[in-house]
Amino acid sequence: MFEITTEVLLQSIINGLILGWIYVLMALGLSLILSITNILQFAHGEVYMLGAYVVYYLSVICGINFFVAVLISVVLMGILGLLLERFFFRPLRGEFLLPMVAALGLMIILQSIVTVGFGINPKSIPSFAPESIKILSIMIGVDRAIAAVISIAFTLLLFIFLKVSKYGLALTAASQHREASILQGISPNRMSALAMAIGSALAAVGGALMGATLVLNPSMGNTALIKGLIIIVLGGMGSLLGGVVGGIILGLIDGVVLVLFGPIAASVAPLLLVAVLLVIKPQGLFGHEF
Amino acid sequence: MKPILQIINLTKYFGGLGAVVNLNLDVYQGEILGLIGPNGAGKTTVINMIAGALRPSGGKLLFRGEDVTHFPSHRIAEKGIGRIFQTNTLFQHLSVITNVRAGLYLRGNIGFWGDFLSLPYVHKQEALLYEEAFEILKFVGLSEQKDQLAINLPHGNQRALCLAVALALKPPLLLLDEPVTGMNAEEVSTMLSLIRALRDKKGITSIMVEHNMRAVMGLCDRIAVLDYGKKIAEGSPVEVAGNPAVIEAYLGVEQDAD
Amino acid sequence: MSSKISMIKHSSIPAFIIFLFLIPIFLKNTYWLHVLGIAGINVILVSSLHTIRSTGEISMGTGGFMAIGAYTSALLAMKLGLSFWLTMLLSGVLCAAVAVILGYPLMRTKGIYFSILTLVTAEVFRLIAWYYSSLTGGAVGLSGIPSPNSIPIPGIGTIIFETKVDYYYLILVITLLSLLVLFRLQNSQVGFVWRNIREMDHLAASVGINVLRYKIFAFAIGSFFTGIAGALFAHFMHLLAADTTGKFGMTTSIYILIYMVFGGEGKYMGPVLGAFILTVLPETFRAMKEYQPIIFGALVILIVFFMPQGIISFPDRILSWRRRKETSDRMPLQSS
Repeated sequence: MFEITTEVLLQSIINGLILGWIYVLMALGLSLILSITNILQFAHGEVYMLGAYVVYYLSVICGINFFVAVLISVVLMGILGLLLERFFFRPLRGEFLLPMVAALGLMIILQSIVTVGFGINPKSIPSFAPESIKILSIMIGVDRAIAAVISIAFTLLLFIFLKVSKYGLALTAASQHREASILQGISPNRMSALAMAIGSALAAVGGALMGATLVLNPSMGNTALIKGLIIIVLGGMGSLLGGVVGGIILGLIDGVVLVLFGPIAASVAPLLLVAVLLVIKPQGLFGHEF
Repeated sequence: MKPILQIINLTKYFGGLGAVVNLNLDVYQGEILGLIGPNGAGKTTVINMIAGALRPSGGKLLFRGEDVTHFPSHRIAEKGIGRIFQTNTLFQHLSVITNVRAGLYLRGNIGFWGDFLSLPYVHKQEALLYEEAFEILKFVGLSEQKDQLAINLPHGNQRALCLAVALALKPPLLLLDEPVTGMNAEEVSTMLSLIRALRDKKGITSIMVEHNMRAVMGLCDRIAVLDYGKKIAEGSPVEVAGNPAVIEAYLGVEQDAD
Repeated sequence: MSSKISMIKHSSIPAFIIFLFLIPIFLKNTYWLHVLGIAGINVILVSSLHTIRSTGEISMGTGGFMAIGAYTSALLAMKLGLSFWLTMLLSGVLCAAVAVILGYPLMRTKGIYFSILTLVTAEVFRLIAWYYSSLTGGAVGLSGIPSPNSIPIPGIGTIIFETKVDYYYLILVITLLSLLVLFRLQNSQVGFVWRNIREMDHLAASVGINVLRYKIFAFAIGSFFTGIAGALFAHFMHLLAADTTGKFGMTTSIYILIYMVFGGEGKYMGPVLGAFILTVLPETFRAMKEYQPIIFGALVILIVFFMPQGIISFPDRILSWRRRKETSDRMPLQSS
């Protein structure tokens, strides 16, 4: 076992935090969808995965510029989100288990379509910034740093949208008090569609960034979904700040605990933390009282 | 005479909002106490705290001298406090008599293994329980409808069934949250005489939250008035009706003269 | 009319069970006997899930408990030389204990949080099995998991577990016993209280029912049988390696949930039917290889949209369709 210097520790913290931001995007999207539509969108991981594969296809196979490909992917996934809401989830509105199982069926279909189309082996997108820079004796891949910055940027964008725009405020209201917002004349259909579109777009960004900084494979959505869910539980549902804090905590755990205590501890730690948290504060760190 | 329920400095904050602030109230054995006040005064919050459905932010609840402040709902029921809810909370897809049988849970006393192995003594126990449920239904006047589905009953009968389920506990204290809301005049008078019979024939104490002023004035022995979470008056119906603070609290509020 | 149906139902179940015992007489194909064995294990898993569901909770932890059951039984048998019959029971008990420990914090929360958290636990247990390679063999896994110990019956002979037929009967008996216990629970006072909790938990609490305790009990019983199924799986396959244990997490949890809803959670036999059909049917189009999951997923979605109460509701739907047709035939002049 090699010696764990503070440098190694810092390195893994940085790596964990950078990766964590991508999962924050997943968490925010899931949380938005869940608090507005009350559906656990199990196919959300697949939207993330498709977002990555679309970028792969466009940039690697078609030769389109990476950032343009990401933009196209985000738009396409946003549209996919709208279509899913309209034709998949809206007809099942009111049920709880049925949309969940339908999403599970979709998850299986999408994963296997991509497996058939692209193969089960991991692919990678050549990095848009393959260099690494050294800051205070810590190596940071420039592409990862940029990925983190992009994720933070999208988080801020979402934050501003929710606070400032008319639709954003409506979404916030709808997520906190569904009945009250319906009484105010906010159309639940439109809110659900918006939540699905935004959530799916965020997932696409996450997938694209993950594909560019690491690898893509057809089951990458599973990991992202789980991480996103852990973040939601840590930070509380329906809270943007909670999603960010949860993501930071998860990133830290993944970084620090992994290096210090090994992969078993790193897997168990989030769950343990969540269990303890739930006993003390059942709504999560920032969530609403149910 | 020691009160059956002592509410001491009871407080509940939701975030920064004080729904109930330092409520002090004694409830005496065998009385029907009305709890009234404008909408949002905190009446149902008080009921929920007594019933163990809501955790108080502060204060104490003493039932027959015992501190039950932080007891969860099922322990409150064990202690002998029954409740009905604001909306018709019933097991909708069960029959009327099965609903009351469900209410007899605490008095069921059926051991797990006997039940699991379907031993004969369990069947005898069940039959006895159903008989007892039938007696309760007779008391509230629903014996004819015993096999009907709860969901098919008219509103007034559903309310009576809610009462029957709570009565299955044989509770010394009953919490009635808007027992006559949404009823027509005939149903109201039936329910009111039922509550009166509970006091007179069974010695049950009731705390009744209601908006129907005529019902409250006609039935309650004493009334406490809440406004913005604080008690502003307490006394006999006559005293309370003439209290200027009470009148002011209700000024401008539309009342449903049922 | 309905008494005729219940008569059919009552006589058909023992007949059906006898039929199940007779299958290996004419079905000799070991591949299909293997599939039926897996179907039996899935039936136990789905009935466990259904038991937890009867309190209103949706557990996504099936895969995790299956991992615990499988590895515990295999390791106890291989490292300590204990008999399968003991290790299977111990696995179940361990799973129940874990369920109780997890249940206290997790079951206080709103339903969807419980589902999310049990999903997370399933993945955590899978990852523990994966990373704890010194114990579980990691990706390589455990091989040579022993067969269940022979049962000597004085005067008749010994029951040994060697062929697929032996395992078929083993799984059949354990599945039937498990179903017996679980169905009996559902029909008892405990089941009554569970259903009351599911319908109106605050009403249940107000009549003195300790809702948390009953929910944890359902979770523990369900997890016990999930552990049993896991142990059965390990000693049936004799091998716990990456391609099977990789599914011991989110994947298994998802599939068992799908089986339950596909079959129909309204009746006891619904999930059983769902598990059976969805285990056996995909094997019939195994030739389609990679397209198989696509067909599977499509089937699930079709049922969700067009028969949301599950396959088991099919006869009722035919009956009510016929009844509607009869009444409309009898009364041609009807004012709407």
